[in-house]
Amino acid sequence: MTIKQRFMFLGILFLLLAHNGIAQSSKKEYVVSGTIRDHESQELLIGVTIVEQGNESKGTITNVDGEYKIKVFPGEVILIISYIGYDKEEIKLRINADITQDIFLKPSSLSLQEVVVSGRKADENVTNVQSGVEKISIKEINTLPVLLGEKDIIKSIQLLPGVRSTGEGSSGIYVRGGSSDQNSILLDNIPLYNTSHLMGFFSTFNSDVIKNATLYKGAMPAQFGERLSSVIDIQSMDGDMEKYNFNGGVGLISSKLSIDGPIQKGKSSFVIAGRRTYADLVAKAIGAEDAKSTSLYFYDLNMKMNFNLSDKDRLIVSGYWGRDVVGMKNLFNNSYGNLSGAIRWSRNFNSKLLMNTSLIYNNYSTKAEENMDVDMKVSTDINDYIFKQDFSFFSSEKSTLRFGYSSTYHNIGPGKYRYEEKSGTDRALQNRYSWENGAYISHQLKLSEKLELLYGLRASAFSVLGKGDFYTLDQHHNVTDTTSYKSGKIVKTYFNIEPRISVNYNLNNNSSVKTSYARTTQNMHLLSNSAMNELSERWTSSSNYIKPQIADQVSLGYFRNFSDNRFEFSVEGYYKDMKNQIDFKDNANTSRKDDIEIELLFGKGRAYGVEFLLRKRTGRLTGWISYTLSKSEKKIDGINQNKWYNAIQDRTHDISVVGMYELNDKWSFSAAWVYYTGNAVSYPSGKYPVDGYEVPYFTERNGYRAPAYHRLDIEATKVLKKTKKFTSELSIGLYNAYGRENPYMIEFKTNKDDPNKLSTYQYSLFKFMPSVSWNFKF
Amino acid sequence: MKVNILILILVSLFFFSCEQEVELKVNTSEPCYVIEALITLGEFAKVNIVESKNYGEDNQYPPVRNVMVSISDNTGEKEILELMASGLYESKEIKGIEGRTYHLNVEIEQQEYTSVATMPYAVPIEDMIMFKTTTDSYFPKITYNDPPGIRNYYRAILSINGKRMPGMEVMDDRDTDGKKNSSLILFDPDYNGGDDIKKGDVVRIEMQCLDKGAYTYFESLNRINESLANPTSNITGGVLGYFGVYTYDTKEIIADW
Repeated sequence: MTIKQRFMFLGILFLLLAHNGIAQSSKKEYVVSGTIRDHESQELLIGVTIVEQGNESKGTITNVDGEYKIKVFPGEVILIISYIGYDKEEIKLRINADITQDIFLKPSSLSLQEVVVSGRKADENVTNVQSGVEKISIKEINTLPVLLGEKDIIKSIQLLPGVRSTGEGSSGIYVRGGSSDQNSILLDNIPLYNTSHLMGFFSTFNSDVIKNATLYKGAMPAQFGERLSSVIDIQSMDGDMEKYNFNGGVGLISSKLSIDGPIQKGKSSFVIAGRRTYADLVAKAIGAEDAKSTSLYFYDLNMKMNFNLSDKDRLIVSGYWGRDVVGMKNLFNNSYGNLSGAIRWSRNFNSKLLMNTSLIYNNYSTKAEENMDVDMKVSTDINDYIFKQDFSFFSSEKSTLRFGYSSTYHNIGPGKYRYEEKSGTDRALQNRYSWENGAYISHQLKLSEKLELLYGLRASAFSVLGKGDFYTLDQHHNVTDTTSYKSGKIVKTYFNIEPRISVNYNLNNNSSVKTSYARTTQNMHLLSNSAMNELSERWTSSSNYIKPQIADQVSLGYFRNFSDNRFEFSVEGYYKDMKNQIDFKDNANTSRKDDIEIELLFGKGRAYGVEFLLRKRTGRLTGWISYTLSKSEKKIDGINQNKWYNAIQDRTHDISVVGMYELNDKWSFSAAWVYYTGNAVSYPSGKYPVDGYEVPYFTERNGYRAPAYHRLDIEATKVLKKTKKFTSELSIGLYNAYGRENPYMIEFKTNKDDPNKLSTYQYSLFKFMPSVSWNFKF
Repeated sequence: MKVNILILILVSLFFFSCEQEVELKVNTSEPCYVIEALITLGEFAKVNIVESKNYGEDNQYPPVRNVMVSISDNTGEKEILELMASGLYESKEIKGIEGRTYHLNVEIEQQEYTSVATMPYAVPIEDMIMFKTTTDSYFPKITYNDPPGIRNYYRAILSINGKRMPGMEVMDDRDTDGKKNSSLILFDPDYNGGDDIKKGDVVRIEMQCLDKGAYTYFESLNRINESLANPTSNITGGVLGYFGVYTYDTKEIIADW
């Protein structure tokens, strides 16, 4: 039996066991369900603990929609509801049927500065069945020092074990040896294609509107799919149903403002938030000459509305619109960004069954214009239409069943070219159409006090559709035949079965062992030659020739909490086997052509590593130390003499040390230090003359290491004013505090003083970058 | 790609960046033959054959001797090139003529390297002016009329006051066939003593019309710091370098605005 077969066998075994488990616990019980909200703001609270008095082991917590369900025996019961930062609430209920009980918690007056808006239990590190999962609280995001003071959720995630930044200042990530397009980044369930601004230095997520985020880097639960490496599930905040709130900030790079409040008091709410960089506006205002003819900015607009249609139905409408603009007057004008929207209907059928139905539109487009004499335009776009149906069935305290399906119609427009001389001429690359379907079932089951399982299955089907020409290639990657398909015709369908299982065995109250296995697949692939320029990237779908990427990951970890859950420790190892990985031929150029397949090479990959994390979550001083030792390799036919080579994201060592210290009510400090082995890169091993200049001679792919990267960032925050009505604070930070010159780019080019010589030049960015930002709330 | 450079210039207006020359410890490599064969309009063929060196070594490249170099064309002419005092293998009969196809054959130690290239018809530079980008930063811009119905490939080389600027612009007509084309010719001021072009500078552009093979070579050479791979050669047999057969037009102006 291979490891994979063994896990599938275990899965089947557990399915059988689970059935028995449910049968045994089928004594007559009733369900109490409802939502838990902040008494003042009416905001739904996530992760609130609910236990029955006298039966504390049967607790539950509210889900991401602030909903809870707890099973109790008939008679008089007392529910105890507790949540950090709120007063403990006790509710007496007389139970003789399933009932709905909404609960409102009062913010605790004693411990205001201790309010931590994150949905997690104190011992979640040990007790959560999922391994390789990280919850990121908004407080952490707001406390950590970052580049130019621009708070960024992705950059907070980069400090966790197993996750790395794609480069200096970048908001791209590599998770457990996977490439940057293998992460599914969801904003309110919308899978965004572009998650960065301004050459990747900032992420598209305005931290003011984020409620919480969860990163799955191990076995992702079966409701997630479509990407190989990880899921980052970002939920935006809900508006206050009682009163209006204003949040804002002025920073070095951008200003932002968000407003939330009731549409109809107690029944519906809205949030609207905007962010825009304003360096260009300031420069124009002070009359800088260059500013008049150039543009360089980005903006984000987030919107969300909640409607309580009845005590059982909720409607959530959310949207995102963001764009980057770079241009010079009479020369060129480039822009790119996402436009997406979602409508979700959430219905609580009865106390056991919850249904979510979503309709999602997701667009990513780029536009490049050259306008010197004659306008020349190039535009690309991706349009996704998504339907999602999810059910959660809380069959008992110990068992939750989730099932559902999603269906996506993808329409990729890789390029339209317009040359506007006289009546103009147009040329367009073929659109690629596809239909992606996934159905899943997932069961979370507490078999005993010690053993908990989360197992499931995802079935995915990806149909490549016409209209379009599809190519047959020979072994030298030349097109030998072209087949034309009519609109809507199925070219090829790829079916995949993706088993997922996570097991948690509690050794005792403060330690556990967790293991998991997951298969994931991916059919939308990003072909990227350059990390710098979004416009040179190109998304493509699986085709008759490009096969779905498939990964199998196993992990095993030990989790231990110390000193009454004040310290958390974990060590987790993983091994990931990847099939149908894509890389480029030397000098590949995927722009402006339909038959991109001729530029691609295929093979396999493997990634493995071990992650250590020691974390302190409470007290004045909080923070963590994380260390990852890992390897990521590829073996692609036609590269490196068909031998294994280091993937670009391969980094042997990766260390983050993060500390946050609250000195008193006014002052808090934070610092983060990172160290990682340089990327695997190709350097020349020789040189030769061509066209009058020396040129580097390359002999191997990624055979070298960039210099190690390390950096310290610090930040101090002072609360200027804090009253019930108005709060404002000032943050001062320093990025790269000891001025390390980390290479952003290394170039091999003609020496500047002696044109007969070839030299190596290193470019560094952001040495001692200071930042100041002022944030307010009223 | 040139928009890339402009974006970099723009971003560096907003961010601080620092550039420095560094020494990298790199591996040594087995010498590899390098063939650079040129036939330009009205000129005799010239072929430079050398061997690659280790990265840190000097920049003297003596010609490889005892090589059998021959060039033939589609009119049936064939010639064996001799190593001249210049260090190049040169022809005495075969010259570059528009529309003619040339076969290159190089034999080194029983290994054969071959290539075929056709000389395109010349396309003249219609106009050349200095174009303002940001304040006080002017770059030459050329305009030319692309001949319709055929694929054309171009390469432009800039010289300032007689000094050639490393780098080049490469253009094709995939989206602009038969149109009036404009191209901004960018350069790195570091190669001009750190200066932009000033009023009164003599600015000269040579625009070459290449065939696809040589264009592909230069286009990939231009991206070498992104691709980190050897440019795609149009010579078969596993060798570095290219076979360039091209016409060209030059224009020179005194910079003014």
